[in-house]
Formats: sequence, structure tokens, C-alpha cells
Amino acid sequence: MSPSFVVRIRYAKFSKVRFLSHRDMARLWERAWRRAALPLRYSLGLQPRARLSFGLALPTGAESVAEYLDVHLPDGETVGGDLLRGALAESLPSGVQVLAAGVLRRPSTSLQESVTSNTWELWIRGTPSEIDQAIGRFEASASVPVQRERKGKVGVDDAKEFVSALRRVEADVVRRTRPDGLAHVPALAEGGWVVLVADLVCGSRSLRPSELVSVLGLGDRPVRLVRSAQWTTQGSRRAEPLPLPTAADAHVGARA
Amino acid sequence: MSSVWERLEPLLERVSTPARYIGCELGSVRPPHDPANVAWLLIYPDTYEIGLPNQGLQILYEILNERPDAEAERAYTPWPDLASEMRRCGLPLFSVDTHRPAREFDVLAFTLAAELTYTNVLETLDLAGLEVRSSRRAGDDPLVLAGGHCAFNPEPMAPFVDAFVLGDGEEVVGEITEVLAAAKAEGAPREQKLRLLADISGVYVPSLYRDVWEGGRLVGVFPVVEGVPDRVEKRTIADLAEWPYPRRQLVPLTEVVHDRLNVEVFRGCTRGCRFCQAGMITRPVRERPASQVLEMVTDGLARTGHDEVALTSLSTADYSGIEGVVSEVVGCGNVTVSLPSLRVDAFTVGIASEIQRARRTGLTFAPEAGTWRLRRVINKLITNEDLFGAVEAAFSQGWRRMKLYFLVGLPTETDEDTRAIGELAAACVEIGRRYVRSPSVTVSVGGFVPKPHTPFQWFGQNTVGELRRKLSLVRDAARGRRGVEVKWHDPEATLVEGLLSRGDRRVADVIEDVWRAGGVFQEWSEYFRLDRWEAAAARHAVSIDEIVHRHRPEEEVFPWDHISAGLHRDFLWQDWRDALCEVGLPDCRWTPCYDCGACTGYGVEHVVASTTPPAGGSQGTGQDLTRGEELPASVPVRILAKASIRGGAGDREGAEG
Repeated sequence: MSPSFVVRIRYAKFSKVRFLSHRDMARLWERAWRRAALPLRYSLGLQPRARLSFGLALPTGAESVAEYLDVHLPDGETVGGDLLRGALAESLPSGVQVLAAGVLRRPSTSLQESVTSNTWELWIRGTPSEIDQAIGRFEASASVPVQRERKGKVGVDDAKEFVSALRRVEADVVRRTRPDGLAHVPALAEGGWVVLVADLVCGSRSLRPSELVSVLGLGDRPVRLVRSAQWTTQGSRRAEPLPLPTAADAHVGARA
Repeated sequence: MSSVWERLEPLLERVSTPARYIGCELGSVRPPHDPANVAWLLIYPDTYEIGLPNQGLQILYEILNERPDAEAERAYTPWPDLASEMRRCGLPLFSVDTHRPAREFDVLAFTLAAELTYTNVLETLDLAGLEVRSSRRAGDDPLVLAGGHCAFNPEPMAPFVDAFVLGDGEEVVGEITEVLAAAKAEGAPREQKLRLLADISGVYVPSLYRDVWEGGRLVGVFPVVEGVPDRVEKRTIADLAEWPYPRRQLVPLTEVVHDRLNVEVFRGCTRGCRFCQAGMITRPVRERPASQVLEMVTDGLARTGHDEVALTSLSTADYSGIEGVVSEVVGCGNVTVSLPSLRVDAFTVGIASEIQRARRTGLTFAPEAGTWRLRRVINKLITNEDLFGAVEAAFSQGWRRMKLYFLVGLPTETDEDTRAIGELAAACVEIGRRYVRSPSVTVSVGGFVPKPHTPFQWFGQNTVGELRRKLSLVRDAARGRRGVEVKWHDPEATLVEGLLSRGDRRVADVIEDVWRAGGVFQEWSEYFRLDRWEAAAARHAVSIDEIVHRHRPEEEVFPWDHISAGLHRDFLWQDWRDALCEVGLPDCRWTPCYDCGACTGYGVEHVVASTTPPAGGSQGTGQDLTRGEELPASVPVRILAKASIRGGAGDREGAEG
């Protein structure tokens, strides 16, 4: 049995392409991979499908600096980092940018199963004090009911179960934490935006960022959404599926 | 460079499928805006997902952008949710390439590929901030051009379009660009630009012509100025090999129809199906050399990342050396080949099975009529043996599903012909049972619309009631047959298609009224409403019945008589008489010329690599047409007993299975 590998890619999605759906992204990556003439594993059967697996879907319209995808390679095949940098970066549309890539042994759990929480930034039109009050109200409530529809039935969950952290952060502080060259995400035409950073746990059930905005009582305002991290649990610590390269690493995927 | 993106972006948070409006496709360009250039906005007046794959628009987009004196961008009609947001915010129509407002272009050029998109042209002009009527536009407004198959009867759209372009666009867009660039440099007024455009062969400027009526009958459409032609001739490119476009087919980022690499293998068709406007107006056949086809396929696959390629034409199995080309294409690796226009015979299925070993797409055949007699009338010379041979070949080679396309409302059609559609489908399923467990045959039935420049232009279209009655005949014949599914087009939409395709200039008022009443996206069933059309026609005293349902006498003046596709009127009339006598006419690619006029008038001829008919027999050529209704022994005759055709020379004993 020759070993089988996946290429794990971390990428950003921003600007105009934020309006592409999850399905659009899947098709886009598959074509980009073929354009770059990189090896690709296909499922067996009458209708062979390219084996790409994605993390949790990013809502259409949201931006992200922490999207992941695993591309399965044919048995025994691997790819060099240089391949990933040149050809692949060229094949992607403006606004989809590779931030890191690594070849790993085929993992036993998919990205979707292994990610346990996400960090979201909610850029909301408003004043700092309005947002602080909304956070305060949320923190002070014993429970915050949120209506869900499951299999046609309406149920009620407690939103607090899904929120492990909630804080307001200064916009320029947030922008300073961005990967190289992405401080402009999200590009906002005018001022008056406040950033709420939330860690939302996910598993069999989760809370959508848009649901959080409405239980905070901010549903009527313009909101821009950025996913800034996805987390896996390793023992008692959390880790990213693929950390960003540090300055010492070869810099992957830099594009003009 | 002005862009409306920042104003558009917040609106996209609130509309369906916002990816329709972002551009960013692989292959798209952001041409630098130079005021000396002629800036074209190429518009497909339907949604992005329908319009983006349009090959004609993509070809012109590339050709124009390669010119130093032109820049071209694209737009599609915004869906009503965005359109109302745009009106609320005063945001104009924009290009998807650079989000530049439409008014900043010199030319708005529409592709007219389907009559039901006409009201969307008005919608799009209005969103662009233009008056919908040419006569009310100001000097510095962009010129409004239109091309595509529908331009062969321009009259219903004449008041809205400044100039129509007939036929192949590859050469003429360059000539238009040169004329407009010079006129722009001189600051020529609008009227002068239009007068200059009218001197270009293939360009029809409707404001320079007047429709003349006498006693409620059209006498003709005549020039009102000196020096413009009485008849405007279409443009024909002599050789497709000189135009290997699109070189950089657009790869959309969101879902669209026909989402695959498309390579046009030939243009034109001379099978001579009498109901088919495309075949009549695009003559002669011009094949692309096989080496160029392969080059376009291999480059295209590598460049786009597509895993499917369609070899497009009006009848791809007739391409010289099709077998060699497809086997080479299959050799390109992990790729599915689709042949969107399949001839109906076992040979063709053999090709399909060869190329679809990996992924079986559905098979679609278009016999168009249920009996051999009626297929001779419409000149779709598919013998029963061809048809059942194809079906048997398909089932025996592993297909479980197929689609069959039919028209109802054809000339001379009897109820026997109509019922035969359902019976034919049932017989196909019976054949399938011998090979697969649950065969399924989907019958798709459309109402026939007699089109301009075809031998059937004299024929009165069936009424909505008659089409409905025929649809129920088909349904009854197929009822209780497991595995047969019947689908049909809305006969009410067929009625409006008839009105718009054979209408005259008076129909423009009807189109405008329907649009003003909110009738956009009439190709979409959720927006189509016949009552709007009927009310508007009544208001303007336009008789739908007279335009759509009336049989025409030989000498009738048609609203499109001043528009020429090269076809002699007497050729079309003779072909109409032949149809009524059930006389088939073989393909002139492999038989002597009938002098239809398409070649001789323009000094062009067929460009085909092989002058012998393709293997498997090109229907009608070298075949014994007297034996067309014979059935292969393998066909469940019991089922077809009712559908057997009168007056035929059926010699069933001699039929080979």
C-alpha cells in the first residue's frame, strides 16, 4: 500500500468574490487545480468525482482569512511547495488567495469533523457604546433563546451555549492581526463601523453569525462578516488546522 | 475610470444570486478606457446564467478587445429584485467587467436569440437611463445595436433599436468600429452616424425605412432616404478557420447553463429541415479544420480546467471525420465529450458510446414528428429504421434514459401523427426493457412556431386551444405506459413567440405596453402572463389572430421581405409546395445544388473536408426514401400498428432487425 496524501490549503476569500456560494467555491477550486495541472484523486464508480473536502461552509457574502480545503492526491503522489505557489496562485481569481499549504498524510477525520470552533468578526454599523450595551445584555442574561427549525419542527436553543467568547475590539487592532497584505479586509467605504469578535463553537449544532447578530438585537444594521480563524481541539488546547507560516517559513502564495 | 461597484455592493447583500453581478470570470478583461476608442457594451437580455455562455457574445467580446480602437465589456439584465433596488437608489445599468455605467459606452449591442427576451431589451435600456424609443434619444446617448437570429425579422423591435446587424458578426463589428471611431473623432451628430452605418453591408437602420400600408395590408418596408439598399443582405464569413474564437472562453465562477468548454465545429446547416430557421439563415456549411478543432479543445481544456467539452454545431454528427476527432478528443485525458445535436441513427449512438465510457450524460434525439409521412413534410428524413436502430443501440450500450423532442402543430399534421408521438415513446420503452431494468423515455413536446425565412413562413400557427388538444392526445397515447414521461412547453408562450417572430412594426407598441405593465423576463414561467399581451394587442388594435394563425397566400408581402438571408423566395415557396406533397429533399452538401441563393448570392460555398455523406447515412442522402416507414423486426409492432402510415410502401417481411 503506498501512502496517500492530502494537500491542506489555507486561503483567504475577500472583495467581490465574497458573493460566491460554497458550491461555487468547490467548483472554482476543482477547476483551478486542473488548470494548474496538479495531481488529483477521483472517487471510484460510474461518476468519478474529484476528491476535495472543505471545512464548514462560509456564508455567501462573508469574507475570510481562514478558509481550509483538503485536496486528495492519488496514492503515492505528492506535490512540491513551488507547484502550489506558482501555478495554483495564477489559476485563482482575484480575491481568492492561498495563505499556507502543506502536504500531510491523509487525515483520519475530515476538516468538517475536526473543526470545533470559529472566530468571527462582526463589523457592525454603530457606536462603541451601543455594541458594549448589547454585549452586556447578552452576558447578563441567564439564557438567550434562539428559534431553530429542525426537520420542519420549530425548536428553541440557548444561544449562550454556542458563544464561548464575545468582545469588542478596535478596528485597527483587528486589521493589524491580518495575514500579510490583507489589512484592507473588509474594505469599507465609510467610517462608523465597530468590530465585535465572537468565538462560536460548532459541532452537531451551531449558531450562525447572523443568528448571533439578531439575538444581540442588532439585526437591522448593516453587518460585514469575516471569519478570522477556525480551531481544532488538541487535548486541552486549541490549534489551527494549518497555522500561517511565520516570517521564518518560506512565504507561500504571495501575490501582487 | 468610473465604477458603480461601491454603490452596488450594499445592494448585493439583499438580492438572490449576487454572484451574477460581480464579473471576475477567468478570461474576462478590464479594458483600459480610452475616450478615443469605440466602447461597446455587449448585452444579453436575460439572466447572467443564461447569457454568459452565449458563444456569439463571447466571440465579439474577444474580437473587439483585440482591436486597438475598441473596448468591449458585458452586461446582462438584472433580475427584478436588483432592478427595483437600482431604481430606488438611482443606480444605472453597469458592465460586469469594470462596473462602468452603461451610458459611458458608445454602443449598447444586444444579442437577440429568443423573441421572448424583447421586453427585457426595453427593461435594460431603461435601467441604462436611455429612452426606449430611438426617436427620443439625445445626440450623446449610446447607439443601440442588435444582432442574432431574431434580427432576421427586425420590425417588431424597429422603433427601439438604432441599427440591426444581420448574420455573422465577426467581420462587421470591425467595420462598425471604424466608422464610429471616425465619426466620434469628428463629433458627428447621431443622425449622421446612423446614415454612415447604413452604408455597411449587413447593417439595417430602421429609422431610414418606412412601413407602407394599404387597406390594412402591408405593401412593404421602403427606404425613405437616397442611397440605402432596398434589401439589406446578411453577412457571411467565408471560412471559419480564420476565426478560431473564442480563444479564451469565459469560465464563470457561479453556476450557468452549458457550463463546459464549447468548440464550434461548423457553422451553418443544409439538412434543410423546413421548420428550422437556424438552418435556413446560416447557410452554407463552413467546417472548422479538424486540426484547429483539436487545438481549440486541448488549449481550452488546459486553460479553463473544464472536464467537459461540447462540439457544437447545428448537427455535429455530420462533421467530416467526426469519429477521428472525437477519439482524439477522448485521448486528451479525463474529459467528457458531449454532442448537443445528435443525428438519429445507430452510428451516432456508436460514437456517443465511444466517447462516454466514463460518464454517461443523457441521450437526446429530435425526431420532431411521430410518423415518417410527417417527417417527410418537415424534411427531417429520419426513417423508422434510423430511429429504432438508434434507440436500440442506445439501450443495448447501457443508456437507461433518453429524451425525444417533438413538435406539434406542424403543417398537415393529423391526430394520427400526434398520437404516434406517445406510441413511439412507448415502443422505445418496450425496446429498452429487453436491455435494462427500468428504461425511461422523456418526451418533450413544443408547439411549432412558423419562422421568417423558412418554407413554413406561409403557414398559420396552431391556436393555443389546438396545441392544448394535441398535447392531451400525446398524453393520452402515453398514459399508463410505464417509463414514458411527457413534458411540454406552455402553448401560451408559443403564441407570443409567434406574434413576436412574424409581427410587423405595429407590434412594437404591444411590446412597449407589456414592458410598462411590468412584463419582464417573459421566458420565465413565473413572470410570463398572456393576459398582458392580449390586453396590449387589443389596445393597439393589433390582431394576434391575423399575425399568428392566418395562412398566407403566395404573393403576401412579409414584414421581413426587405431583409435577406440570401434565400430566393421562389426556392422557399417551392420547398413549401414540396412539403405539402410530402417530398423530401436531400442535403446539398452531398447532392447537387438546389440554388437556394445562400451561396451564389454571396460568392461563398460549402467548406467541408469530405464531400461524401457521413457513415451511417446522412438522412435522405443515398437512402431509399420509399422504405422510410419500414420497421426493424425488433420493434414491438403491436404497439405501432395504429401508428403505421397510410399509403406507404411498407414491406415488413424484408425489414432487417
